[in-house]
Amino acid sequence: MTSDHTATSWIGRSPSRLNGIKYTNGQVRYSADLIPPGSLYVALVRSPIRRGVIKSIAVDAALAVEGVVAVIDGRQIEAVTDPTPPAFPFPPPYTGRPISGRCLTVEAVQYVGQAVAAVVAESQHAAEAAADRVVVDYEELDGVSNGREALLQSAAIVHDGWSSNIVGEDRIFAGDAQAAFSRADVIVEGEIEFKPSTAAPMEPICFLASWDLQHQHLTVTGTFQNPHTSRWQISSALRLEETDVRVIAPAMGGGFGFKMAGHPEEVMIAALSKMLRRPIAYVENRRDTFAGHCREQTHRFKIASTYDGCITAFEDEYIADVGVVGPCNGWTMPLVTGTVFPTVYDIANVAVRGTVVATNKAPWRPIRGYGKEIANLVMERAIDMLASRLGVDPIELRLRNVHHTEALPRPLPSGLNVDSGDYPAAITQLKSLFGYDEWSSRRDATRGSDLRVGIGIGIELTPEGGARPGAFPSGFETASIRMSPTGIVELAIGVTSPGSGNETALAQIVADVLGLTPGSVRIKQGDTDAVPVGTGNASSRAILYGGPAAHLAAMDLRGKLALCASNLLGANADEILFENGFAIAPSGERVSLADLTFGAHTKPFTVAKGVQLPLEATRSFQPSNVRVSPDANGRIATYSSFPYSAHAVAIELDTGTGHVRVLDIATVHDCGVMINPALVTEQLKGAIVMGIGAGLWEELKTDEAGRITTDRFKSYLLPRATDLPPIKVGHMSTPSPFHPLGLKGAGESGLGGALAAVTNAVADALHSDASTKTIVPATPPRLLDLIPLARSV
Amino acid sequence: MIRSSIRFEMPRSLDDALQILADSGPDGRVLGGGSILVSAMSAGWESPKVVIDPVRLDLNRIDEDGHSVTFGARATYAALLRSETIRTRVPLLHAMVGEVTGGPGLWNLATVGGSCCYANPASDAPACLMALRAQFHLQSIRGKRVVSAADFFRGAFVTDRAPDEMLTHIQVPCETVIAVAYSKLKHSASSWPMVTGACQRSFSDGKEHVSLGVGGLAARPVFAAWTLDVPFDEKDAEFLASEALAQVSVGWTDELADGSYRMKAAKPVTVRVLKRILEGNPWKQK
Repeated sequence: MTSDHTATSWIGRSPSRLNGIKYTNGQVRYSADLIPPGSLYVALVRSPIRRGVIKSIAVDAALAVEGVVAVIDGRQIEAVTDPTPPAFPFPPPYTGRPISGRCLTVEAVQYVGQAVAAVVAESQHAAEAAADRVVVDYEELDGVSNGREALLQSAAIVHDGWSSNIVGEDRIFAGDAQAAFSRADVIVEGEIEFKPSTAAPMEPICFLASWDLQHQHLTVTGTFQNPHTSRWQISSALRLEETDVRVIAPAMGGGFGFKMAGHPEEVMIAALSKMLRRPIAYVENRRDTFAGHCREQTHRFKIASTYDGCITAFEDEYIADVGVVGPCNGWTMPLVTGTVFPTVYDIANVAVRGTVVATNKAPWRPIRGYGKEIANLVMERAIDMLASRLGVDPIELRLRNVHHTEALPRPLPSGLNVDSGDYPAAITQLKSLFGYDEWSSRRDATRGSDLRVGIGIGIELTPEGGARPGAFPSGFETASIRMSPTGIVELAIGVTSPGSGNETALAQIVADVLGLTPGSVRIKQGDTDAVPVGTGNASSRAILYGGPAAHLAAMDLRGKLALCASNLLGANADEILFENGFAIAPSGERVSLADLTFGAHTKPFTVAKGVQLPLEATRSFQPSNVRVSPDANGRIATYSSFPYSAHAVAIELDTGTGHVRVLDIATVHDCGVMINPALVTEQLKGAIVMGIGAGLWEELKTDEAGRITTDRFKSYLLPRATDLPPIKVGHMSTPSPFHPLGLKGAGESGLGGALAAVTNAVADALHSDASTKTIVPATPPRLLDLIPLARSV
Repeated sequence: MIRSSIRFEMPRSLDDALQILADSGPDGRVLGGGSILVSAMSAGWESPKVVIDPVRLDLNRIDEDGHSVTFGARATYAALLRSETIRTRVPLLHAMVGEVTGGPGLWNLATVGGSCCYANPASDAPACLMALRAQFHLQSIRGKRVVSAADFFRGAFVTDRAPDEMLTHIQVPCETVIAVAYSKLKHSASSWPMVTGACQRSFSDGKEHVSLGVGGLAARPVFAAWTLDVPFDEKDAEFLASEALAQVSVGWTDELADGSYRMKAAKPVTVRVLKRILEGNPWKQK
């Protein structure tokens, strides 16, 4: 990677995580640990109905509760704020359309759980007790409860100022799918209904706002995945200059997209602090965290092939129900779904029609997978159903139809340009890692028994490094590096860590360039007053974008240090090596970086002769595999990187109860060059667990009124360690030709493939022809309903 | 977040506790281990004004008198699991307690007594105590009474305990046990049970007896018992299960599964526990 890339390189190694001990022994301070003494607390009065007009809000009883300072409604906040701008603008033809941008609603409610009033009190107890005493009188109106309803002519319009409930549509074509289907030997059709689920981070959202009256400056600390985006949104809404607002994101207990910018509470807490001139805290309770739903999509797909298994056409039509559209970008996820088809497969004729609709449900919050996991699920389900129809082994059918490595780079029908990969090798490696033949034998042996083994394959392609024009911020990341006079290296960077540990990998990159240890490099993230403008944490960009930005900045610093060393050691600058904290001349003469930098700062006319001080550098990285000029189909390419993974899962289905036990999981993953394999592996395992959970257990249910009934971890079922076997992971590396370090994104990928594999495994145990409809998650009650069908096949 | 102030009492005598409970009327609650009540208070579902913690009332003892084992209402799952008396004299209870999930944080806190008073259909203890023909000792300032498990569990979240009564002890008859089996069906480790099956095969009066409790299936546990007058084997499990489950016409519905699922899934769970004890296996312990 560097010019003197030696055996001591930190790239590809897994040193101990920076701050790992602090995380383990509880020394790390999360947002709610940082609530300053004397803060006020907020409890929100939330709408119990789907849609209605607010007739009155009675607050006297709440104000009478001891410790209550104020009860603020939407009207009062409206007087001092503007609507929050959306982080992602609407694509044409809907650009500029109004969204639900108020942090406290005014006059009407659009979904159950929408904040109607904020109760501010000296304690959380008092705030919540008083919130129970606020009486809101509603005139209830008919709402839109699901995606199908939303498209009816008779449906209520969810958003004022819209002419329909359509949020967005996408039509993606390649070749002539209709003609290919008419000529096909075999056609298989299916349907997938994905029920709502959520990210369920360990740490709910939390925001602390403090308005400095003297300096007219606002500081908001909290669970921000995109601190600069949030700063822009908060300052816009509060009519402040952006530089009058500082957003700080301390250590985070899991992000998964859930904490991306645009929560109404971000602006609300800031506005309340400014109004009441006191520091204020909002700590979300677990029940409200479960309001952050997503993934509700229904797909109808069709796949065609020749008799010998050459896939000739694929078609998919889907509707996504994204609830109300707010400032958060969750609603854009299903628009990404369609862009991933037909994933890793060489299919000439493709037709995808996606429709995203608004309903009277809470806004979607983003989630790992970002809609891409659902495309992979649909594609892999289609492949498995086709394999079953053809009587071809599912792995064999995949091998016959995946792109070969020499076919890459190549464009998807959506215009995205897939960088690199070796799909056949990954599938072959997976077969061996999983023990596919042995599991197939075990499966066959249990075919007629009450406890049936099922095995499933899922190949995943995950576009990463999203860089959508018009989004704030978009396709770049910036790193600033500086070396203090005593030789401390500090990297300030616009990407953040949601707890994943990417700061360690960034430190490795810097350490590798400067011949230091990662532990000696300080990484500064998540403070808008201290780091360059950046996206924060999204789309696996921390290392994909932040890595090369850090590398470029470190190389610039190294150039300055090399000149200093050249001055001191009398060698050519380009011959200076950096190892073990020393700058070393070809003669073997050396000087420690600490002495060198102290010399540069105290003897600038000699040691730093010809060097532009200070010993700092700021560099940005923009990906090259992004295209903003439309292609022949009018499409642009907003993802630069395409990691992929191949998954196999074995399950045991109890045909008496529908219970599923996961027996084995194996994954082969390729994200190009890995900076820190341990971090990649653990992120991958986390994604796999999320995929299995989404496939088998995790479901947000609501009652007829739209209220969440699965609002705790006894009813929203996350996988526990005892639910899953050890996960076998194999890595491959096909470096991206478009990335200066050969990287592809890591951290998000793995979810969709595991989800697809476990769904296919369940279908295999059921006998995959039992039903053309797949409902996700495959809960025991659903499976038990299908088992009589399976027996009759 | 607990929204309002509560009076928290830790009385030193049972009489004091019962008086406080009586004086509190509908605003009083007795804490077991707190895993249910405190969670409900935090969620705002329960707002008692007085909470009585019986921690000083010596209600965590486990005693045996030769004919029965009596354990206090405050005996935790961990204490019951550790108890040699429970393991040897009431092996079905031991098997049930050993299957309770939640980890040490729950086992060291939560109590069988508390679970029984909560009477959630989807919980472990009620059906097991039905199968064991447990007796529930209740006390108030009005006096003492003993209620059989069959009468104690009256419905979903409803027991025979009056608001001013405390459950003090649970008494389980000791039998000559031949085999026990406890099994439960859950969607995943974090879910509550969908169906539980607790089964005991014992010997008395020169005959073998089978008793069965099925939990989760209906609003209250299902109980069935048979005397094995004629030779039985595991093939008879299907018949016995059908006979027991015929008592239920509507399955219990909650967030995780509706009644029709439970009606279907109960059969294999019940058959499996019956098969295990009819095979004559030694006490099943995990």
